[in-house]
Parts: sequence; C-alpha cells; structure tokens
Amino acid sequence: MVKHTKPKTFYEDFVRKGGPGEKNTHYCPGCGHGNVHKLIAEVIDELGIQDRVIFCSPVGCSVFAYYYFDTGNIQCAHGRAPAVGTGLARSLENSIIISYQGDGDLAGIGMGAIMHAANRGEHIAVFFVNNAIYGMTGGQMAPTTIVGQKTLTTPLGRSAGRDGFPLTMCEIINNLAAPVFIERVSLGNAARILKAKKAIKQALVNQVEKKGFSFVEILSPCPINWKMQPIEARKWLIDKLEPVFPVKNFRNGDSQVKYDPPRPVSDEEMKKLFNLEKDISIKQKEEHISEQLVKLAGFGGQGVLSGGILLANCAIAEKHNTSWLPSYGPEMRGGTANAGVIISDGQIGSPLVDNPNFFIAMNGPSLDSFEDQVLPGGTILVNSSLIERKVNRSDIKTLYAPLTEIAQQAGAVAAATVAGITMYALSTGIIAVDTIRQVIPLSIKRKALIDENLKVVDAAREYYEKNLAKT
Amino acid sequence: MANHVVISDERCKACRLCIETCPTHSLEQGSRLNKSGYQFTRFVQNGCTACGLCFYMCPEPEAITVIKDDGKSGE
Amino acid sequence: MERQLIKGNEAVVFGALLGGATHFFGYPITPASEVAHMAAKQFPATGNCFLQAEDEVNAINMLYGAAAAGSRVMTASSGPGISLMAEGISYMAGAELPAVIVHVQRAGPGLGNIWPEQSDYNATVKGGGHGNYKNIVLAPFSAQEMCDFTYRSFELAEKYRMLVFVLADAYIGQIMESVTLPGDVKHAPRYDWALYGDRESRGNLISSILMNTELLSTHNWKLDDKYKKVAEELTEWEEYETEDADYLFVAFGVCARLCLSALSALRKQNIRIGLLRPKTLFPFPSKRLCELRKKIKTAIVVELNNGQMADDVELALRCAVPVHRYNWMGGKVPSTQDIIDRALKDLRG
Repeated sequence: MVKHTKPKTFYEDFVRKGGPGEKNTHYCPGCGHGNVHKLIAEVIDELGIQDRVIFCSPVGCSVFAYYYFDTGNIQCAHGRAPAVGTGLARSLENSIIISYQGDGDLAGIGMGAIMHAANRGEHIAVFFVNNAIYGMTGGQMAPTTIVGQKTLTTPLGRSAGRDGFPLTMCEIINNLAAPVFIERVSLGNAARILKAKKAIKQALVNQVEKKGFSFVEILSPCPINWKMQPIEARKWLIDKLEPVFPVKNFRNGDSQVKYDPPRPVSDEEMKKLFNLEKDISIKQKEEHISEQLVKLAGFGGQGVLSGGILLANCAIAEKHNTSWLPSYGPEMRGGTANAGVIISDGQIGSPLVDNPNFFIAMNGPSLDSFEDQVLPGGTILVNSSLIERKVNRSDIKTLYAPLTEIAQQAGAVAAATVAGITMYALSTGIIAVDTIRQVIPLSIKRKALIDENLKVVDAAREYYEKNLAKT
Repeated sequence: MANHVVISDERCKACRLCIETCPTHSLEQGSRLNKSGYQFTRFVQNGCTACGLCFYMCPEPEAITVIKDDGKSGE
Repeated sequence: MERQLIKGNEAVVFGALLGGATHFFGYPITPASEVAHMAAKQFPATGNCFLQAEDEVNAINMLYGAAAAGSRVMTASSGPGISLMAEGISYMAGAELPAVIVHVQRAGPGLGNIWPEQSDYNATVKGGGHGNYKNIVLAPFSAQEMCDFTYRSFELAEKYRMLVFVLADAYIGQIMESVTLPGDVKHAPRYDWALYGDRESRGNLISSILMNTELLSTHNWKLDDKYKKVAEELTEWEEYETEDADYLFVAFGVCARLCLSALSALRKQNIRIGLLRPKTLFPFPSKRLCELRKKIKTAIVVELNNGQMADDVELALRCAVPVHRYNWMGGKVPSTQDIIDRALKDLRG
C-alpha cells in the first residue's frame, strides 16, 4: 500500500514557461520551499478543499508556486499578497485563501499589507517562509537576516548598528487582537517538519471553519545563498536561526472580532433607497427664465454652502437646470466660504460664477471681494447685520437687509442664508417662496430645525414685504 | 511485499536529506547520475518501517514514494 | 427616476452601485474623498463591501484580488494616490483584470494643492505605470456623466478586460447638479477566466508574469491588438456647432464646460467656432479631428495643464492646422471671459 506519495493537489506535470511539462520543481537541491509545498498540498488533500483553494503566489523564489498547485492561482506583486487576499476573501465567502510569502516579500516591502490584513483579521492563511535571505535575487540581506550573517549586501555580516535587528514577525503580529492562530515552525529536521504540518493544517482548518486570520512562520533553509550543503543548512537553521526565532505556538484561539456582512438588497430596494426625491407639488411656470448666476459668500458657518444647495434644490423642484459649485477644502475649515449657483432652462456651460447677476454678501470681506464682479444691472443683497458700509457701485440694484438678525429672532441664527435665499426668491421671482417652504423639510432631518428654518423664511418674507418690496 | 521506498531516479536532486534522516539507514547515495547530473539516492532494504520521514524531508514532490507492507503477498 | 441634486463625487457611487459594483476599496484624498464617504454609506446599505485600505498601494491590490474573483470593484483617488497605485495598475493591465478607477484630479506635481488641474492626462491616458499598456479613459464633464460613465464603466472594463478610468477634475467632483439616476440595476455575469474558488474555475491563473520572451512578446502584441480594437469600437466624443465652424475648441472635463460658455459668447460676435469634447480620452477621437482639419482654420485646446492633450490634438490634425494652447496650472481655472478674450485676440489677429 502506498503510504506517502505526491499529493494529488499537485499538478501531474509542472508546465512552465510554456515548455513541456516537468516533474521536478524549479527549486535548488535542499530548498525548504519544496517541503512547505508538499505539506500544504498534503493538508489540502486531507481536508478535501482543493476546489476551494485560491493560492496567492508572491514575488521571490516561490513566484512560480502556480506551476505546482492544481488550485485557483493568482500571482501577486511584491509584498501585496495579503491585500490581494483581502480582495479575494471579501469576494468569495467559501473559498480558502492562501497567502504564501517570503521574508523580503512579507517583512520588507509588504510590511504594511501584512500588518493591516492581520489587524483586520482577514480570512486568509498566511504561510511565511523565513529563510533569512533574499533567494531569487541572489542572496541579499532580508529583514530577517540575523546579526552577523553574511549576505551579498552585508558582506561583513549584518550589523545591528547599521542595519537594525532581524524582524520577528510572529512576535510583532502577536500584538494584534484579531489573528486567531500564530505559530512559528521549523524545517530543521523530520520531527520539526511533522510539527510544521500540524500548524499548516490548523491554519487551513481555521479557514474551513471561518475562524479568521492564521499566520504560520516557517524557518526554512536556503542552502545555495547560505553557501552551505543541504544537510549543513538544516543544522545551521536549528543552531543559528531558531535561537533568534523561537519555534513555538503564540496563539491558538477564537477570533475576538466578529463582522456580520451587510444584508444584500434587491434591485427594487436599491432603486427605492437611491430615489431621494419626495413628492412635492410645485406649480410650473410657462415661460422660460433668464440664466441666473447667483453667488453666496460669507464666513464658514453662516450656511453659505448649504444655502446654495437649498437654492439649487428649489430650482430642480421647479424643473430648471441647476449647478452648484463651492469653494472647498481648507477654506471650508474656518475661513471664508462661497458658492455659485446657476439656474437655467438651457444647458449650463461653465459652472463657475465669475460674474454673478445676484450676489448675496453675508459679511464684509465677501462684499469687498466680489462687489466689483457683479454684472452691471445685477443685484447685491447686503447682510446689513454684519456689513456696515454701503455698496459703492451705482450700476447695480442694492438690497440691504439684516439677515443675521432676522434669522436670530426666528431662533436660527445659523440660517441667515435662508433669509437671503427667501429674499432672492421675492426679488427675482425665479423661484417661489412656497417652493422653499416645501423643499426645506426634504433637506433637513431634525424636526425642530425644520420649524426654525420655516420661521426664518416667514420672517424674511415679512421683512422684505415691509421694507424692500417697493425698492 | 516488505516496507520500502521507491526513489524516482530522475526526480532526485541528491540533497541527501533523506539519507541523513532515515532511522534504519535504508537509503544511500547511489553511484549513477541521472539526466540532470545528480548522483541520485537509492534504496537498500535495511529494515525500512515505512515511517515516511524521508518523504517529509525530501523537498521534491515525487522523488520519494513510501510503500507500507499491507500483509498482502504476491505483489 | 426623478432628477435629484447630487454632487459629482457622490453621483459616481450611485452610478457604480446601479452598474453592479459590489466592492469599493479606497483611501481618502482631497478632492476625491466624497466618493469614499458616499461609498462607505451606500455600499453597506445595499449589501455590498466598502473597506478603507491602509494606503493606496494596498487598495489597488485589493482591487486586483476582488477583480480576479469576478467582482465588480472600484476605487477613487487623486493624483498622489494614483501615483501610488501605478504598480498595481500595471499588474492589472498585465493580468487583464477589469476594474474601475475614479480619478478626481488635483494640482501637482508632488503634494501640489487640492485645486483642479488636468495634469494627469498623460499619466492616465498613456499608461502611468511600467510596461506597454493602456487604460480606457472616460472624461465626464457633469455630475450626470460622473454617474452615467461610472454606471457603464464596469461592463466596458469586463468586455475588454481592461481598467477603466473615470477621469474627472476637482470641479467636476465638487459640482452639484440635477442628476437622473439610471433605471436598471446591472449585475456581473460569471466569467470563464475568473477565480471563484470552485471546481470549474480551479485551473484558472491570474498572473502578469511571463518569463519567456516569446510568451511575453505574444502577450504584449495581443494586448496591443485589443487596444486597437478598443480604438475602433469605443471612441466617443460630442460636437457642438461644428457644422459651420471655422474654428474649433477642443477640451474635456470642466474646460469643456467653460468652452461651451465661451462658444456662445463668441458666436454672438459672429465668430463661427465649434467645440469637440472627447468623452473618451483613450481611445482618442483622432480620426474625427483628422477629418475636421479640412474645414477648420484654427484649433484651440483649452486645458488645466501644460498642454498634454494639445500634443494629441496636434498629432491628430497632422499639424495641418495651427493649434493654440490655452493652459492654466497650479489650480487656477480661467473665467469664461479669459478664454473669450484670448480667442478674440488669436482669431481676429
């Protein structure tokens, strides 16, 4: 009876570079990758998960792992396999994702990827083959090269003072809450290899049982680049690497983090969810309006941007085309803010309101900045609560109204711009005050705030009719 | 047939890890070269227990197959 | 659906979800962050996956993994973030993985500033990462197109197994306009090349490594044939008043909007000028421009960069027609009047 033979998770023939199939691996004599490959393949056989496995190959000697594993295969950029695994795991609930990485890949260029995937508790099994050197590129220093170890880039041996210390990944990852399984194993001899198999199996069982992120660090020989014979290399591994990288289990438990994926919705539910418009009855006007170029400007916090959105929403409600463009970014955080709203019945070209025909100046600096840009024949509405001076120009219409005080008396000092929009509506007739009253409840969530805003609209209308209507 | 190990001559890379590992000294370095130029391992019956340690020590997927005596004769 | 007031950056998310997107991986950056904000809200609300990655380098690799799994996956970023994604973009192009990247351009180089530029035209349209590859690049000029282009981008990406960029600028991202959302919800079909973690897809390999020169050469020529096919099938543009035009504006994104306003002002002054607005930047409407060179006397390319698209326009016109380059950089956006004044000077002499 055959007791041990090539696992069936391996391809029958290893087809590489488009050439004829081969039976051997591309690894050097005595290399540990072959051992790890065999262990993983055997465990996959034993668990009966071959169809479900997606194997993420790294960059390094094991870049060609897909030659060997008859599973789903994906080759990843250097160090990014945990991110690729994240994308796979978040897409395929029932697949078993293996991220197979070397020391340069995982602890060097891919340090960020592995830490964050571990920290999120991604449902992947990571097999970290640590041979303390860069294999494929020919033997340079790895993040795990031990102090004193000679490599091509540390010809006199790694100096802790210059190069730092070898990174101990299990210990580092063991500081995170999310991983469920962390173990370091060794390929130093047959007994150790059998222990390594157990750890590999546990990591994959954890995926089958959907337990979460599992990390197995495998101390592995690289005889060629260590410049040793295979047997000597295994001994060196035990004598020199294991003291720096203690072989032990760090964690074997259940996940501390739980995530319930969101509930899928039907197409109809999605469409309903996205249809933000609610029924309002707006009387449409027959005649086309002339293009309105409205600018609102003031302090951040005066509701300049949201006032512009309110106006744009009213324009849409009355079936006009509209665009709203804010000043944004750092300016929004504390400084001055302005927004341009265009209302038109034609196609809106430039969304920039360089030269408004209606300008609502909420504070002094805004009036100073934009007074000269108002189109001749246009209108400036001046918030006289905060602006003491008069408008200098005589070729435009001016309206003075204490917008902040009107809003304050109505109980919503932050809604001064709403008073301004109301007066814009009354002054131009482009939109109806009733539209503003209908749109406000659709764009504000808090009931108390809706009432306050509506009061501001009423107070603004009262002020306008009393003081400005005849101008 | 007794416990034994089948070495695929062409798969062996002559790293000798199996020879070093075998507790019954049932493996040894042969004298012939395979097509890749490796002086491949050969099996010598020396009380093989089919323990499988050589299989796990060997990095190549199909260089070593371990056969266990299942009591059936004549095979 | 009704018209709604939606910001360009947010319209992207509605378009994406209605277009069948199931995964969003991203990292915040101004002026693209609103895409992530809205995605963080709407992807989970519709049973889909939103994940904030640790950085752009890994965000794009999450796209690589999810796209390999046959998911409709996207991200959104801006210049510095897109630079970080260049590696993954190249790998995805090599492995022929479909995905959608919304690029809301800011001003560069380096950290630059957060105001609009179109200075990543070359990096996006010509490639951006290493190797011979192209992306499909769609250039929206309104919030409606931010929605519509993203909506259809997944099917385009899958049809050609390419990355599709929705290349916007800070203004098109920030603008709020009336948007009508598409009525039908799309879904990704099963593809024979993807990895689903099941028996049928078991033998599939997603990879960009081809160690043999013959194989990689064949692969690169295959990609090149595909890009030629895309150019034949997908080139899209819009023309305004070109029938009788003596002169031609060429512009995309917010500049096309500025040119529309300038065009109507110039027409009032009896200058017969038209506008050609590429909706796809790769493929570029070179053939159409080549035809137009026979009827127009001058072309004016208006861009928020140092003339990156103007090079392509000049090439398409075979240098048969003088090309004026109106360029602004650093986040400065011209007023319509600036464009009109320069055009009057250049066209009336």
